[in-house]
Amino acid sequence: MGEIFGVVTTSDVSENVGDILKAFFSPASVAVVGASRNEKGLGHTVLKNMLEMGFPGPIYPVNPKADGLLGLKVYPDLVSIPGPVDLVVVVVPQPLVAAVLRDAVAKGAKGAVIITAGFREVGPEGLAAEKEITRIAREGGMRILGPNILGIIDTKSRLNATFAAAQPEVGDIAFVSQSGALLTAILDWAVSEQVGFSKIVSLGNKADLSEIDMFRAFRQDPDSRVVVAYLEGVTNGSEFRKAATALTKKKPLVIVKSGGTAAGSRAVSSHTGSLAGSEAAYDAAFKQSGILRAATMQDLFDISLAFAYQPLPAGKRLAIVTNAGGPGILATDACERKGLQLASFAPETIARLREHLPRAASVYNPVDVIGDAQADRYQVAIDAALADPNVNSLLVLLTPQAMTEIEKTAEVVVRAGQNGSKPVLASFMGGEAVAPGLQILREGRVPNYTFPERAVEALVAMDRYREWQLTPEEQPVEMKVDREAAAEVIRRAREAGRTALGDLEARGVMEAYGLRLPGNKLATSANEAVQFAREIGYPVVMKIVSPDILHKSDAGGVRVGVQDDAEVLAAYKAIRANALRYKRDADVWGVAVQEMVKPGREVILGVTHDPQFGHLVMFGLGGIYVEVLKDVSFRVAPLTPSQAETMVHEIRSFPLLAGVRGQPPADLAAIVDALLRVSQLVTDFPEIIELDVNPLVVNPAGGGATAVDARIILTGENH
Amino acid sequence: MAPLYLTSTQALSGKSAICIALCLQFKAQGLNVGYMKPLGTVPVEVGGRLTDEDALFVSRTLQIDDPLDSISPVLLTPDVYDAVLKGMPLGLEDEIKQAYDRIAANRDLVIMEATGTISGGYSLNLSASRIADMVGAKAIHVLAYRPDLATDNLMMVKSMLGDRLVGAIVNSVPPDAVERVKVTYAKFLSRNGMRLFGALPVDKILSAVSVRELVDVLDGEILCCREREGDLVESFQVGAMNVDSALRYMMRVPNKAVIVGGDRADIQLAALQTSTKALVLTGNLYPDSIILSRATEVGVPVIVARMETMAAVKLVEPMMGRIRVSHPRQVARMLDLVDHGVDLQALRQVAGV
Repeated sequence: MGEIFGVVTTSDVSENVGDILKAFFSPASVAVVGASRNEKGLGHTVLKNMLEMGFPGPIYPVNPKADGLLGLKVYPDLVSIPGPVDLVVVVVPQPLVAAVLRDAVAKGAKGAVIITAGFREVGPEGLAAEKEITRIAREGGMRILGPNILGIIDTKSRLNATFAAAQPEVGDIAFVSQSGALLTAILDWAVSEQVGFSKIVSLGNKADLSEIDMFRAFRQDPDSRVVVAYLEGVTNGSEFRKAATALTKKKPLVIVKSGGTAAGSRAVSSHTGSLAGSEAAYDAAFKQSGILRAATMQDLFDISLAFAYQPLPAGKRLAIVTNAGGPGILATDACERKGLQLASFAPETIARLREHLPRAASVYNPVDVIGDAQADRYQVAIDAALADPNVNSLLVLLTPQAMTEIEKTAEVVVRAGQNGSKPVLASFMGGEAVAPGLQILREGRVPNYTFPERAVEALVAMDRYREWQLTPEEQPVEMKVDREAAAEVIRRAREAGRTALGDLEARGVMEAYGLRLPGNKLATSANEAVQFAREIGYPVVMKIVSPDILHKSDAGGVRVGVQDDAEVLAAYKAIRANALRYKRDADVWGVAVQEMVKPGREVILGVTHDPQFGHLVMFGLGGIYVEVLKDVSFRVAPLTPSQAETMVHEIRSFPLLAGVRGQPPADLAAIVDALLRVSQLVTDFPEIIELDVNPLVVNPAGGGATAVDARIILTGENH
Repeated sequence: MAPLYLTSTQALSGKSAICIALCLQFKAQGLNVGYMKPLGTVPVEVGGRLTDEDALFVSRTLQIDDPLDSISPVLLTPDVYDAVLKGMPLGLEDEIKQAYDRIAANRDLVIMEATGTISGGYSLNLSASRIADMVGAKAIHVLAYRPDLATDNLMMVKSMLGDRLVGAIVNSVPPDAVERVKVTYAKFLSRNGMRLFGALPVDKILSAVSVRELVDVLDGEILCCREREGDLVESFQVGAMNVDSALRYMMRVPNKAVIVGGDRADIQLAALQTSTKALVLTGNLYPDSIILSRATEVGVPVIVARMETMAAVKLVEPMMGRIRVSHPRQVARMLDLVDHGVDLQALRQVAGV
């Protein structure tokens, strides 16, 4: 554990990306080892797919028991092939794979696509075999895709090394899937929907190449406009983020990550042998890497088709043209709910619409060209809307009514969709009647959605991606802290074998990292408590200090608003007695006498540790807002200043911090500062696996914030 | 030479382990050391005869060849107490005295171990003070650390043994309390005419059990990584919560065994991702193959147990911290701790050797 994330930069691209692209996606020659005569066999299907896709280079079937297959000469082994072999597709039974890879290395192949299953997923023997083949490849300088995969497709280079039944069309979408079976279904669906792909990759066991390598490769791939992925887990969170960030600065990445529920996460665990990881961490890491997370496979394609076919909008302002009121309202609602804006037309646009549309039409956005509209009326409205400088994107709605010219209107929309600067999406609602129009839209690269809300969902994703592209690259800032002092406290606690830091220790660490804490002194007798209370000034707070009592209030170990000497004496005795009753054998160090912090707005900062992405920083408003309403925001550490700021603004109860009903705004800068310091602390000390500042009492703007209580938990493991 | 008589008032004080370590240390210093437990409390059968479990264990570990009936001459069996109740004469004093003479012959020093709770033998007129008198022993009280340092118990023992009790050794001291023991408690002893002979830190290895022992107690089947069955498990956790909480909890505790239902792949993976020495799968449910692969990859033995989780916990829980120090690594560790934490020279002075 304890991976510290490096700074994510877009320039980080491993040098062999070009090699991977070439070896796996545009090899000059391909050998299919295990190509068989049995028409139901996978090896046969792979060879057939290679031929049917029209791979231009030499294809070498390898099978010691056959002379010729599908009109090709068959070789007994790889070494007997006369010419060079770039890519080896392996479809032999598991026990033979290692020998094939040795031959492949000897033959100088750059890559191997191992379709064969029966490795890690079947138990320790399979694992040993997987390690063996990985070693052979690594030592031979060859990369491996798989094992246990459907295969790989590149529509541009006409490579189809899969055993899928369907051949996809050429397109702009690169698709990576951790499930091979899901791919077979999507390929079949894509053929019927005429959705095209640039590349399709099945990842399988990820013995060598993973989604991270694919992201790096697709970043440089001119044929892919958008990258989509179905993932069940990631193996290296920090590399994943780096690769994804570099990719999303160039092109959109849309991911469906499954296993988000407790039962789903268990299913992921038994399917892939990896922990699904926490949803909050995935959400945060995806946000911070510019990844668009699709909730469903439907969303995944709704969104990726918009990216594939249409340009990015320049802003949030949407124009809607419809031939029916109801759908227009549905789209408007969805637009407002999801944070898009309905464009306000310029006066010239309104004048132009008024001039050309019937009186019953609505010339304001959403534009209703009304039920009897034919293609010409759509044409007028669409042209006017697209010409308006206040409009960034256009959604054309159509219901099949008596006078509606479905095909002609589709042609109008397609022409509009080729304007090159503003995205045009369509929702031709219906089934059979609109089908001919849908065909025209598909061919004309205007994405169509059965219902308007789905179109709005795609526009929202486009808008989010636009904002991500505008986000300047920012580095975490180095705050001035006393790292040595914190290290000393942590070292001592670890030496003592304690994983929960005591109050005083936690204070020491937080103070070393520049958080403001209330005045505090540890009294070991009642008289000392009185003396300290006088020094600090009444009223004071008194708290039990014991490494064995973490929940001080539950133990009756906290007294607030202690007013005078007599109350201090009484409180001291009561707290000691309560502690004894709560846990007889607790080791009690004494009673802390603390400055009573002036009331302010209470917020909570927290850190947990995620198995994939490392430290996850949480922010929320204290009390019911966190515990009951779960109104919290998360980011993966280290935080940049603007990420910390977004965390504060992102919670629903933010207005309470900004100030409601005449209340002055809280010191937001102090919250951001505390978040950055906590982020730096956990980044500097990976052994911290949990941290809570609860509450951080925030004064009005300019007044700072005080960490009243802090809890720090360390890992018990060695680093 | 005065034999050193180690007493305690509570079971699990670590007395036997300290006896072993003291014997080995003194032996290393060139002394010919004998060991004896005059009153046996836990009978165990060896070669058709009953003897005391501690005595057997200590003598085997030390490879002492004295006969077992010299090392542990009197066993406090139900028969003995029956005789006491019926008023039958027992005359066991001589047996103890003679056994001691046999052990002490040609020896430079004898370490003697009293019963776990000091009351053993009182109704037989074989109280700790009586036995100490018979052999002229000096008593040293061994206690496991508690925040109150069990001062009541010590003073009770003092009232029983009087001047024969010369001091104490505190075992299992948490690192944060070492100073408190060495300063405050030492002063307390000194005010009462005794001295602190040592403070031994709490140690996870000493209270650990081996993976093999877990397999045995659970009557389980070990599925992978058999070569790791000698590894020591320091604690155990039950994986019944959701995976996020489980992971947080598991990261805090190293070298643990995780007991979890065979169908909870997520918890199993969480365990494998943290410092785990054994994965105990309950309900007679075998894991997914991929989990077994993962366990093999990280070298964690997987044990399948037939019982449900709670039943497994009931078997495993009593083992932790209560099993005797037996693993060679544990004996070595105890030797090391005694070497650093006990004033051996002062003990030799007390014994007059």
